[in-house]
Amino acid sequence: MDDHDTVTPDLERELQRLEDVQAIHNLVGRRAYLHSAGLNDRELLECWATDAPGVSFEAEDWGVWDGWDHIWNAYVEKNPFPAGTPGLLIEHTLTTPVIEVAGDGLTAKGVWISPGHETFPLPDALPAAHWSWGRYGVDFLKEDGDWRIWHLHVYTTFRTPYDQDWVDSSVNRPAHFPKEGEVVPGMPVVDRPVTFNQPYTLDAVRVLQPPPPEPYGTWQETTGYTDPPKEA
Amino acid sequence: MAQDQDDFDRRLRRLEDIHEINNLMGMHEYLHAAGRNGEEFEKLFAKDAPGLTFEPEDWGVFEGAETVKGCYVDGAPPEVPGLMTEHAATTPVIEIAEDGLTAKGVWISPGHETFPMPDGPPIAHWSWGRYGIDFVKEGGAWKFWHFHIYTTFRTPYHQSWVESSIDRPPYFPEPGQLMEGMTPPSRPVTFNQPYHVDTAQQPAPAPPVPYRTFDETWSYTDQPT
Amino acid sequence: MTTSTETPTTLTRVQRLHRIKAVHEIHNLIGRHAFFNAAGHYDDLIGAFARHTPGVTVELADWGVYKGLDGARAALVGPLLEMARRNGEGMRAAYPELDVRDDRAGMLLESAFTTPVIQVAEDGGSARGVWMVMAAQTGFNPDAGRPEAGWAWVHYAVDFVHEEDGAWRILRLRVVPRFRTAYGSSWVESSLREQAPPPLTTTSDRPPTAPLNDYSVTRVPTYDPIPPEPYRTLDDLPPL
Repeated sequence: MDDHDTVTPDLERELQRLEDVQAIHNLVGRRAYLHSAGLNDRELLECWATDAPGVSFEAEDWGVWDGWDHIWNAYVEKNPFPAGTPGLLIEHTLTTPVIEVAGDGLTAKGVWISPGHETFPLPDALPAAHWSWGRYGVDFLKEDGDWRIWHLHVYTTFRTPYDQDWVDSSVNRPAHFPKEGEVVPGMPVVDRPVTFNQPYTLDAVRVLQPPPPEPYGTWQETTGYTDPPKEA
Repeated sequence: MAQDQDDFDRRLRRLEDIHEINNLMGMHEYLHAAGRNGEEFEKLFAKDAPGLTFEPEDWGVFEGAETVKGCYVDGAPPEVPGLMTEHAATTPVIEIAEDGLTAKGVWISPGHETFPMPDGPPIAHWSWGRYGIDFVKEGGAWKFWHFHIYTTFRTPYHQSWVESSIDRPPYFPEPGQLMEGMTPPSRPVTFNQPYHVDTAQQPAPAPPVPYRTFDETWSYTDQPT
Repeated sequence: MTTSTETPTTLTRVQRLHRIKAVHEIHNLIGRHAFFNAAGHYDDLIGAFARHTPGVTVELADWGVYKGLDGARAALVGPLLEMARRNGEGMRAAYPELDVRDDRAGMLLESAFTTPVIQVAEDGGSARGVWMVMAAQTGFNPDAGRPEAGWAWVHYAVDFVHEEDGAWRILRLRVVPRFRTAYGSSWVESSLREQAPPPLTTTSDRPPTAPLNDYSVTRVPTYDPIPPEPYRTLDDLPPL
């Protein structure tokens, strides 16, 4: 080993940031498997920030729930598709990551493209199979030394019945779909309206949402993925 | 200072290990898509490690290098025109043992498969699955040690997985039916749950959590508890 | 026996850290490429190509090899602009009530990058990666009189260089299609009524390096692109 190879504080910082990136890959991965299994309670407890102020969850065309308790009430207590539902199958993959850890190492931002599929039981009919593609825009922070989800925004790309393409289902909305923005019966109302969502429609022009993160120094320099976007 | 350096090196090695395992998984997918199962077996499987296992979908567990080869290489479909299979690796969760000797990972795998048919054109399918894999270091490189492929669904292009689960395409082999040339499995399926309308999905494979040595954990081809 | 996944043991700490950081930055670079492509940020797409290193090429399997930054623009942005132009034209005629102003209305080009294999050169100056890309695509189809949804799977093979300003950029990009099919018919059915690829607005500088090998009932699968093995320096790399 020569002198250029001693562990300097700079080197230590670089290594820490790369470990942070890997921790975030594993964190969102774990969340995907828990979500797919309908274990939303474990997701909230094991993957989300529990003490940090400003925790938020924006789900497609529903809007934003602010605060861990509100998310728990909506997403766990009123989970319309809990674990153990026969015929239910939900799977959203994580691909195309762009991840940036803040220079100060306290927060991080990431986006993913998520091809997936969903099969929902229906009353008086076979379960309905869908292709469902979306995107994630996520802010993270470190809580007690572990990376946790701080703001999670799920964006719809399309959700379409297996035997109907997304162009057609955007024009002829399937009868079993709830009205746009309509939450599941019993689910608490959102705290804030949708900040951005862009499912496929004939007149939609695709924009850069969620914007892939750029390198940043501290959280003050950036905005959250559940804040209203500046351009869109 | 020396201790700092050792700690730094261990942490750096862990990130390299994770990168190498991601590459290994990718290598598997490209070789498999090209039908090069033999080359893949030689390069990527822990042939000399005790306890090599391979559990593909509904066939059961193949134990030991000869038996795994007898399944994965000898039982592979012949390379004929019109055949195409491709499985992607997404959604990784990877943990390296603290002792650096083993690792565990899970992936979700979107895919497609096209099979030539005796009468008529080949038939296209969507085929999604998952992987739960234990890795071991052999000769300084990471290799597949316990390799479990879980079926999510395999369905003809014009029929959803809901329909296929109640109206199984007639040309599908029976669950567990061996392919031509395939060695029989060493033991039965530990876990597989292709989509079915009547079944509540169990969460599997379990994403790995940090661990120190392999004694503390289980194998992805063990009977799940 | 050596395998493809070993990290050379002769490297210093700084070099090893540089390589791991390179992998992360390459993931980000490719991720941004996908987001820019979907959003029609054409200048950003080209901004990811090497600025200080000669030898930029883009190869599209159907059309050939395009050289330099102008070639990259012709190969990548050209078809997007042409697709948007035809899309806008069709959309305005088919849906006058929508008051379509942007040519990209109703278009969707969502590409999910999966299955990476990335090797950083031992000298840290370059890297090669391959990806399987699953895509959901939509553009106006004049024959159908409406936008047509479809699936495509392609492989990306990419050489990257670490440039003098510290950024990783794309030196060579090769796109190898596996299939492209309208939603209503499988890739087998689509291949049986094979159509010529749409013409490009600019012709390529060289023919493709390998024959087109997307799905056909008469073809066997090939091992192309080949995921990278460990290598020392950019000059040692086999053709992409």
